[in-house]
Amino acid sequence: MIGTLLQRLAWLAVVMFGVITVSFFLIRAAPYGPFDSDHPPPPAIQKNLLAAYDLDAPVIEQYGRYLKRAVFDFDLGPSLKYRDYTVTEILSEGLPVSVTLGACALVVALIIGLSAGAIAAMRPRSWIDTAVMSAATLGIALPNFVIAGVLILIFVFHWQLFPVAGYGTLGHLVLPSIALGLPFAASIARLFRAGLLETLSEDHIRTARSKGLSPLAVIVRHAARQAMLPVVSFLGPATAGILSGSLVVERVFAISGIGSHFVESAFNADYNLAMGVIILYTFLVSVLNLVVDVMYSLLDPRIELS
Amino acid sequence: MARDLRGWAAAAVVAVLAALVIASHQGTQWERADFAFCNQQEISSLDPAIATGVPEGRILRAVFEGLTRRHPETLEALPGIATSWTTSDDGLVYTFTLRDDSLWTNGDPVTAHDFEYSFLRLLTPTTAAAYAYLGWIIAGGRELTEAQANPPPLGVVATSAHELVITLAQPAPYLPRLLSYYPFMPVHRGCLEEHGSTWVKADRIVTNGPFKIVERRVRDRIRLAKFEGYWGADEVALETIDAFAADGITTQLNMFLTGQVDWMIRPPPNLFEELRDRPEMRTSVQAGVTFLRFNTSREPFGDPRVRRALALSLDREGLARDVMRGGETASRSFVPEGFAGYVPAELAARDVERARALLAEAGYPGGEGLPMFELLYPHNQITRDFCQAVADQWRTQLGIRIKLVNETWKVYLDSQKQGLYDASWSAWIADYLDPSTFLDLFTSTSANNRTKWASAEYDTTIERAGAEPDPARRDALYRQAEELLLEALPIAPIYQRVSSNLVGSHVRGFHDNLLDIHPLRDIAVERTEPVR
Repeated sequence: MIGTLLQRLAWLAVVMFGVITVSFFLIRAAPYGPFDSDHPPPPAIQKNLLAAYDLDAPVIEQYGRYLKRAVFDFDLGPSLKYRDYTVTEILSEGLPVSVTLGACALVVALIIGLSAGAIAAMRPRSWIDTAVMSAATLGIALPNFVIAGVLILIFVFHWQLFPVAGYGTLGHLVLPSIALGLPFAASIARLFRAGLLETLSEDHIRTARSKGLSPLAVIVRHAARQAMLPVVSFLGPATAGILSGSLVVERVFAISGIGSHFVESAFNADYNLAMGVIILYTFLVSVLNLVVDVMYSLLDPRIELS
Repeated sequence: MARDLRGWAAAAVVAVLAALVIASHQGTQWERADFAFCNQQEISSLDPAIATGVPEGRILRAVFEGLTRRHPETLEALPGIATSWTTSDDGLVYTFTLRDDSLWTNGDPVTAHDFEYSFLRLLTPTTAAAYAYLGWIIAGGRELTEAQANPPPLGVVATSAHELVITLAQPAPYLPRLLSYYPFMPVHRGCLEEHGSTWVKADRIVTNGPFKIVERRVRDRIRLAKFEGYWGADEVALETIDAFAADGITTQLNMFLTGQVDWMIRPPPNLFEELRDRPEMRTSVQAGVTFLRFNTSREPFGDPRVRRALALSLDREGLARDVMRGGETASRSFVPEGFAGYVPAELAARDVERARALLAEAGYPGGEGLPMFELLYPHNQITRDFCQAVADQWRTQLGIRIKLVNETWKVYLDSQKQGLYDASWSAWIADYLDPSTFLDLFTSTSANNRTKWASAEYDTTIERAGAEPDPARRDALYRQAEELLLEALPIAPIYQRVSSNLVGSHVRGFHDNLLDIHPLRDIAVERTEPVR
């Protein structure tokens, strides 16, 4: 298993290199630069700006220097838009915020998703099942800014329970976590229900039932673990999705995570920040997928990590 | 084994989550500030020489003070760090007397040497200051920024700790007002030399304005507190201020409606009708204009008759009243109303018959034979509605076919710059109150011209106006230039812009003005009930 892990990590390095290279040149192929504005300075000043940020060298040379600094010094350069910060500073200030929000959203998704899936699976094809699964379909279909809007209407303006925006207290996290987590809860519910229904038809479950166990006990003690497999494999992409999909929720609730940099750094032609975000997300998604594969083999000994 | 592992894994996940939540909430508990506002976005920099943009100005005016500052209502130059100034007869030499009771936040006195150092820094090429060109009115400024060989000495000299002499390259009667603009704010040399590029960090920065930086969290907020050592501290009412970086327009409105902030800039235009009657809603004319650019290097815009026909046929009042709906006023001038002493030139009133005749004269009777052209605009709902309405008017009045093209902001700017457009939505907002900020745009060498229109007569008129020391004659020359511009019409002015703000009714000292500038120094709050 260690050998396989090392092999996977080597692949990760290759993927990272490829992503950095392609992104670096793609970003610079955009027709606009970081210092274009509606009040553009005269050409002499544009020249000074490009020189100050080492953007006046040929692109291939910039690439070489960037790679060298990024790999050997872990230096992702200064942000070209937020000029008081380095990219590393921005990401390290924003990442804990995004991860906290993402973790809370994941907890919301798991609690709601697993409960709903279990309830639906206990009475398949009953009205409860139909209701839960319809709600889940709706949850997948609704974009999270709509969910956020509805939550704000109800829990901020109607019942004044939570702050409308900002970051700082646990109260600030409640609505954004739900808005971000609900669509994933819906997917989890569907996957868990399907997994349970399949497992519940197996022989060892019949045995458990014949011992007189209640439906809930059957699910919790005997069926859940196996039925979790599809959920676990979904958690990797889901976590990545929650982290990168947080840009809308972060914007609506004015949360100072890194989600919005994902899109805005491209619009701002903030080359360095855009590269930083891409590198970070590539790394996170690859590592999360690896973690899921490891968990998979731990949950089900029949599956080997390869 | 698997069962043990599962328990352990669950516990670990819960522990990590709990630790994360707790860790991320350490030290981020904030008391509600006396005054809070949405500053629209994370600012680009706290360095007055590096920063560009409007949200930056709101913060920099609060934490730094230049030789002058602005009257919150009239925008006239008030004494700042300078108590008084005199001008030489030729309008080229300004002598500023500095107050002796102003301090930096580290306790050092603010002196004329600080300004000498800061102006030199602004203009030095390696500083890479985007607004350095504003300092090119100072003798030797341009040569310095352009790194010319053997530049003349820079016309900024501290003759003593409290006297600064500025020599200009050309007369600039607006200099005292210009010097209140943030690129001309002083920086603390010792702080810069000690910390290098990291001097702007909240725990290092040394400032000299009415407020100081307490904390800054990227994309979250900047917390300011009153600086007791500020010379005018007695006049400053607010103890703490929060400037939120929230950029979502609905988010900002929600924050205002729930009392989380006391001031919101530019509420959503689509809610204007609902917000208009609220006592907190304030709209005011702004020194800005929305206009159309024509690319005169492309047919049919090379023909001035076509440009005139397009400009004359538009119902500006209708566009302002029915499409914009935010209190904008139709304008047939390029320079907005409200600049002291300057009377803008005007394009002839709307005349559809004349427009049709001009178009026929140009060889396109009833719009026939006129190739379909593109109207470019930056992607957002307001500009889209506006351009659709303009295209409709042209279509119905002149029989012209128009294709609307939208691009994201930076791509749109680039297309304009490269001349990759036929006609284009455009807007310009004054940096300072002087007709030159508008009319300098269309000289043949200006990077902001972007219409490919060049007129030697226009260039000389602008040049003469710039060199004219007598204010009345200067205004007359600028007016002459505007008349030339409106005769040739590489652009068609449409309406004068408005600023809109939602300001809590407990806020005092907030005045509407042409530049939409509201110094935090002059703001106070009077609450009858505690905030939520």
